[in-house]
Amino acid sequence: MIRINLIGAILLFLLGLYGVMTNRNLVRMLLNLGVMESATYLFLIALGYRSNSTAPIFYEPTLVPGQTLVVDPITQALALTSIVIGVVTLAMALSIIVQIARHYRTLDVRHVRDLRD
Amino acid sequence: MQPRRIQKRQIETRVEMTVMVRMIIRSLIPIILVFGAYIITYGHLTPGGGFQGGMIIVGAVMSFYLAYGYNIMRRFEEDDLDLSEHIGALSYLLIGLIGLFAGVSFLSNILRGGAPGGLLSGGIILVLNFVVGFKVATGTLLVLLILLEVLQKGTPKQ
Repeated sequence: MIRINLIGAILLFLLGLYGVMTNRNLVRMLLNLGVMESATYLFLIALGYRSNSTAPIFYEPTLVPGQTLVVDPITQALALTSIVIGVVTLAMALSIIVQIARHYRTLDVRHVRDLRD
Repeated sequence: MQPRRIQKRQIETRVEMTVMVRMIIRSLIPIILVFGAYIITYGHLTPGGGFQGGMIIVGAVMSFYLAYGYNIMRRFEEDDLDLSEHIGALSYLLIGLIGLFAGVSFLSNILRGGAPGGLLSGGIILVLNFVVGFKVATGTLLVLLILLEVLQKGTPKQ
């Protein structure tokens, strides 16, 4: 694994967390949540790196299974799964935000506090 | 003369997004669907597989909902999606049982052959990817549709 990528992923995660905690706009909080998700993708892919290795896709002329060094493919599959789940979660969160904006007429998170109409 | 009826001031909100968003979504949805099918099909060679491709297909349908509002999602019947999910689960079970009846074991590879690196080199994984992608897409779509229905009104209709 490459240390600088792991440290960068942790810093990116903390940046996103700071943005979620200090923003008042709901859409900006969602964007910072996306930044946190990107930090986890970077962390996952940087975990699976091996030295002097190439992409884990085998095709016959150049890459032979069993003789070529490849990186770990499991972390890449995990990152792809997380990206795809994040897309659907983002769509659902956006639809909820649209309903909140339609009901409360504001996107400020300090005014969206009531549990009844 | 009739007394003037006091009308409640109604806030008119538009359900659809602007024409630019709708046009872009309409031109992007076939590309996203084909990309989801590619991720499902080449799951044994490149990162991806059934679950990831199914969620990409659900992502395409959700972007359709975001552009057009809830009225277009009424075309999906909950009973059809429920039946499709059950068919997907039973197909997975039947493919596993084929291996059991062939005498080897449950979920054994009975489709041998194919060049390494080719499409048929995965054996039974190719068929299982299709089944899992179908089940994940219909199941997740069913759950999200119920959630959207609760968002529209107060409670889901029984």
